Amino acid sequence: MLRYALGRVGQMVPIALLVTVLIFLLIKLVPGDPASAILGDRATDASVAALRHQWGLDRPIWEQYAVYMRNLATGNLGQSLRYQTPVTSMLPRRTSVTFFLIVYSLLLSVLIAVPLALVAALYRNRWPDQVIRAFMALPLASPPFWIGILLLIVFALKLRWLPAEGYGEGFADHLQHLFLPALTLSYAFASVLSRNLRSSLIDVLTTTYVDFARAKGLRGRTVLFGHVLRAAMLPIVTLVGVRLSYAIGGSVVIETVFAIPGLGSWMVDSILSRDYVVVQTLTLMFALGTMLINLTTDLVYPLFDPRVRVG
Amino acid sequence: MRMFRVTAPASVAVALVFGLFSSISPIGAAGFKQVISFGVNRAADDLDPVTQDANPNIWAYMQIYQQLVRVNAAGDGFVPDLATSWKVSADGKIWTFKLRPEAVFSTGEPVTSADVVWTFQRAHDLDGPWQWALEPMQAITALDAHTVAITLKEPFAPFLSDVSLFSNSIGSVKAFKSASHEEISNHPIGSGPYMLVDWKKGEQLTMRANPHYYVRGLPRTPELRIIYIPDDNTRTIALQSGRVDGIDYPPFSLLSALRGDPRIDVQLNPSTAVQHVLLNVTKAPLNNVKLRQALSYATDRAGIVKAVLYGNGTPATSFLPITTPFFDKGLKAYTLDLNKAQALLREAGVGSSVTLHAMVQSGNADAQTATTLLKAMWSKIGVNLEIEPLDRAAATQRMRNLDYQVYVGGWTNDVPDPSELASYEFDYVTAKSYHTGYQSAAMTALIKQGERELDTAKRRQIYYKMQELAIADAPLIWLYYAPYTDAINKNMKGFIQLATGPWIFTNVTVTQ
Repeated sequence: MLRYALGRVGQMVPIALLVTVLIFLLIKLVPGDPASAILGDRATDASVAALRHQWGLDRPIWEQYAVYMRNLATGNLGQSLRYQTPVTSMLPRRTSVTFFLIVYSLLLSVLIAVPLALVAALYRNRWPDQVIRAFMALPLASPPFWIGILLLIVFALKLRWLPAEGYGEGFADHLQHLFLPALTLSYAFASVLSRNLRSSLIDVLTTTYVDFARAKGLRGRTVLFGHVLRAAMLPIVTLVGVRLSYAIGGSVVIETVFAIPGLGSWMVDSILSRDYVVVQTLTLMFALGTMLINLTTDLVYPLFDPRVRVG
Repeated sequence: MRMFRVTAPASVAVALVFGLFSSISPIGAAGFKQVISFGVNRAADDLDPVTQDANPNIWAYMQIYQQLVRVNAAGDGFVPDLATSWKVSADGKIWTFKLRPEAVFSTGEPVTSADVVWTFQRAHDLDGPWQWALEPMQAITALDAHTVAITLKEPFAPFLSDVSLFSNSIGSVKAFKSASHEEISNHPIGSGPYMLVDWKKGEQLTMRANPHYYVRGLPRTPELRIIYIPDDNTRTIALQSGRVDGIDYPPFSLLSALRGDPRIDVQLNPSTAVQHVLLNVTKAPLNNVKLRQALSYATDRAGIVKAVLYGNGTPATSFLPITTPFFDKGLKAYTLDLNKAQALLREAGVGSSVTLHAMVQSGNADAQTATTLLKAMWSKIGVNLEIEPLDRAAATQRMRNLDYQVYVGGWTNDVPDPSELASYEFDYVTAKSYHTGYQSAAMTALIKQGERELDTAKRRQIYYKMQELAIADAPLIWLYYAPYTDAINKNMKGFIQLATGPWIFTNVTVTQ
């Protein structure tokens, strides 16, 4: 497995290089000059030209790319054009915020989906199953943005139970501030997760080894959690992996709506202000993050099913 | 039983989140909060007074810095700030300012004339958007530790206005003499009521009371947090749920609902803001003045005020904001008159059907609505307006390159004097006449006269003529004057927003 993992990591390098070329060219093709955007309408032509020169934006594009790659190779991610601050000084906090949000949303998805799927599978085709399936179909038809606003109105405005925005200070405060955005992100996935897990559970519940486990006299809870749930989780691992990758992009809208200072909102702000340095760094991070998630997903399979071999 | 066993753990987890964690608002003595939280729609990104022109930056660093003189709340005069008094020589060329001896920077260093000299020299020399304000300055000298003399090249009527400009905020020469622009921006040091203690870029500015501020007992609330909440709905909910004490720019569409909330006070503060339509006069067909006049007559300004501002504004009659000195109340301005518009269109000789192309900033709901309304209005006289949404950066670049035809924008006058706006909108050298390309020898002459005429009555007549000529030449179409909108918790007292824009938090208290 180690060799397999190392091989996959090696494959990431050319893909990452391709990503740097693509995003470097794409962002430069988008109309709008960062110096004008940052200095404002009243900036003189001379000051705009001077700033472009300071940033090296008046050099040939191949030269700009070479400088970028040279800096990247030495760990220098550059300075945010907008905030005149090293990207590395802003990255840890922003990354931790988005990571917290995504993991939180995933946990909420699992907390919502697993019990509902278990009940639905155990009471298959009876009223609890039908109620749960009907209820969990709703999120699939609702845009996350709309759900987020509704949650804000109910829980932040009317009930005043939870904050409307921000990240807070301290772990407990983060949990409180990110509950609504995490719930917004998790809602649609919980629906997909519960439906898939229900199907998977039903398949496993009808297998002969489950009948055998019951016949041996094992308690219902032991059969359910020790045999059935574990075996039913394998397809869910794939879903979670895909979801994690999707959540990185999905966080963009949620972070902007809820004013969460994560990577997603930073990406939006940076694109709008043509902060090339930040856009390049974040895009590369997102690409590497997606590849690492896919790799981790593959490596996790054997934990649920020893019959699965990787490599 | 099975259902309970599987759902119980999830229920407990959810209850934990809701039940255990509650935020705490710090409360000081006498029931006043120790922190003011103010939500804003744009994040500050540069706190160097000299290098950029964005309102979020200016209004933030104005809590930290002081100027020699400050604009009053009404926006039509000055009050002492770091200078306690000032006088001008008989020939109008030498201004002498006496500094306040008790003023101290947040570092504990006293403010002296050396700081003023360094600040003004930097603002004069650095090629920034406000360099024009000190262009008339020939020399600046420290006569003693608390007296500064500024010699002008020639008498300059709006000079005191320019001195009051926020770009001339006094910084510490000791701290900043060898500092880079990034250092000045990231670590501002002023003598104002607050000092910057933490800046989470793109998130929040945290300021605390300057312990050396010379007015004892101020600021009344020791901590100020300016929090970036870009989404209008979220920012409004944050206010109504009590998470912030005030917000800027609540959307006009929500003002009615906010007025109905007994906890909220909606403020419509007089402003120097004017919204307008830029017309690129360098290219056909908009190089035809009759066409521009026709478009001005075809524009229903009252209708735009009703649709965009929900009635909370005034149709514009002049290029000058209504609050600016020498605004001509009796100006014969454009009114909605389709017959006149069609007659002018015929005189223009551009044909019975004209197509124009408008840029509009995506994400700017007011500009989008106004542009859409213009399309409908101008179609009545046979002018077809094609609309292209662009984000801010792309639109700005096209505007600066004169690569557009029509563009809805706005202006906030920064000084209580008409000279800044007159120069920016009609002097080609300054900014290509607000990027319209307009050039007029007569207008340029009036601008120069207005700057040099020291007699107030004569100056007034010069600006009246300027306003008439602007109407005749119509390089822009002035749409409306909008107030600054703020919404604050009714427990927040003492909040002021100057007509030129900056907030004043010095006397703000928030009771719990």
